[in-house]
Amino acid sequence: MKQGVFAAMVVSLVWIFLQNLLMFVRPAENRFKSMLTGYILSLPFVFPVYRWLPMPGFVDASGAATESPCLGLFHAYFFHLLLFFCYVECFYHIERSVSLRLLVELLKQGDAGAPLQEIQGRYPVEGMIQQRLEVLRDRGFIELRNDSWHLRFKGELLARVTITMSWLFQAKGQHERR
Amino acid sequence: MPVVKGLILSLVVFVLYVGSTAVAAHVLRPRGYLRLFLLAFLPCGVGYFTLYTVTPRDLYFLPPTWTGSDRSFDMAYGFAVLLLNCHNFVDYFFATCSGFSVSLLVAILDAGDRPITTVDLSAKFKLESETESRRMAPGVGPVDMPAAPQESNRIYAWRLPYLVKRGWIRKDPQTDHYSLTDTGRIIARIVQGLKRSMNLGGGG
Repeated sequence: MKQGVFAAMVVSLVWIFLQNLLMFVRPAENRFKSMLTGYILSLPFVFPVYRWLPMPGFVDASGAATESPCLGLFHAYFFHLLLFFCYVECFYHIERSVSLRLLVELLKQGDAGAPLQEIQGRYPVEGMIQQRLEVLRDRGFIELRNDSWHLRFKGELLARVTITMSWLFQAKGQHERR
Repeated sequence: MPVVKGLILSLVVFVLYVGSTAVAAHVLRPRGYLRLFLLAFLPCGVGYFTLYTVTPRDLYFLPPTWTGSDRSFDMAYGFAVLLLNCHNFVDYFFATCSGFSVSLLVAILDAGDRPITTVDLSAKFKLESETESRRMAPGVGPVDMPAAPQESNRIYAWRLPYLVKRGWIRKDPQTDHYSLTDTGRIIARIVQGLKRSMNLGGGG
């Protein structure tokens, strides 16, 4: 089990590091696709790392010999998957969060700060909407027909799941907030 | 000693976590969901450790080959899985229910068969399209008043007071300038560093 968790952490760290390094050499337009590709390509490495990479000396590996090897491997792949989800979600928090972008914009302004009009000028809502609509169209969630936006299957599915989640948790979307 | 006990219990507690937060959201109708999710995690974490301590090593059904490792490590592993699952769930919640892009999808769905253009979608995020907006005045309660210029859209109207309340930014009452607090500056620097390390643009 320890070997499985260790293998998952090692493989996840290596592929995430390599994937980010690659983004400097050849930036991907679709980051989710590149993250998914990185994850899938890393899958075959989990088994050899689990099987042959020695555990670090400070880890007490006693009892590992009596464990089911299949179960150890299951832990490795399961934890590897959870770390992938965690990475993707953290990535989108950093990349897409409007609040965090706002903080970075204010950081650029220095100690004097900026009035709202200036912040909005640098980061207008219309620009945000336009940028997001283009990304959603490129990813196959929506399409533009006769100047009107329409949902594609993926977009409709996500919108319906969101409406269900919103009802379940009594949450309001950003277009309904004040 | 158990190998999958921690994992099984963490999954059980995770299901309870999702169910209990949904019930709590219906009862409490919170404005801020992060606090709800964080507060709900505390009893769930305690519940996980309690369940782990009071249940037998084999959980009444696990075969002996599945119960042969370090107990404390198994307990910690189960807790790590619980943390990751809860984090994934909360992130998914915020990405969908509070996500800007997803709210555009919902707005398009709401339009039904009516055509909806980029301008129509932009208008949905503007408060100034409404002649009057209901606001809560301190000590008075709900009042009808025109939206202030700085509150002219739904993106900034709630976000700026929220960031001020969290202590990440401050507003100078004399100049009306917004600037970062010390906490906000640390967060902004970390985010800027992470964006650079991932070769990301402005984003948002």
